[in-house]
Amino acid sequence: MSAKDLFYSAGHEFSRAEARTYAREDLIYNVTEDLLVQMEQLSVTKLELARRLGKSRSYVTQMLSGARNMTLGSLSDVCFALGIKPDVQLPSQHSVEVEFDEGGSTTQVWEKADSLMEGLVVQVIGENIIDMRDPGQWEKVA
Amino acid sequence: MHVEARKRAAFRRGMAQQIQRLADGHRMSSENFPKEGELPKKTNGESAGHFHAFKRIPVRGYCWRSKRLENTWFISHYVYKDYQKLKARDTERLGKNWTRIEVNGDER
Repeated sequence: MSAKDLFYSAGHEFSRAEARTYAREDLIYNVTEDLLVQMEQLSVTKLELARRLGKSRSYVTQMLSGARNMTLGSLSDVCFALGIKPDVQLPSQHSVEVEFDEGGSTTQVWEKADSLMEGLVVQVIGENIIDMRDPGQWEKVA
Repeated sequence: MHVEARKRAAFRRGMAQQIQRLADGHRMSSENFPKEGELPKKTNGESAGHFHAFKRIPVRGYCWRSKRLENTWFISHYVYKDYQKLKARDTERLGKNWTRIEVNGDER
């Protein structure tokens, strides 16, 4: 049983657009949540992250809430500022399977979208590149 | 719930995604899954711990981790929370559900 079953009636068919939106929001939610967990582990506040990024606190808040679109560039900047290395994996073996058939049923589309999301992993791992918590590193960058 | 109609679909997706992440065993941030009030005390007066909330402003889903069933969370109820402090009635409602399920073993 998936969490979706709690919110959608059995037999509910999802349009392709809805499945795509779900997949997009799922990725945004899980990446921002991973970043928040990392920040908590590193005891880095949003204010501190904003300072390290040279951005405002509201910029960070919006980005981590998913309200502001995060680019790969900004994800990299955040990870760099936290001293962690993001690991983005795309499952090349699914590249043919996920070709959506316009005539396919919406259930099929949903299942394929789920299958794609299972293979798509964006991990924010705790491997330090440079420990940016060390004030000395920031002096070097400056 | 009094969520604007145009936001309902997004809320539903977001709520499902929060539960899915927890079910998948990923860590939840305390920002979006904060520890909220205290569970009812045991008969010997010991604390049974705290309950948490799935937070997606302005909605909260109050839940607890079962000690009776392994790797199981129960969601007590969702509220539209347009106020700051946890209300006693939500703690009470959760406490009743907790007692029914954890103490009396009645999952209904």
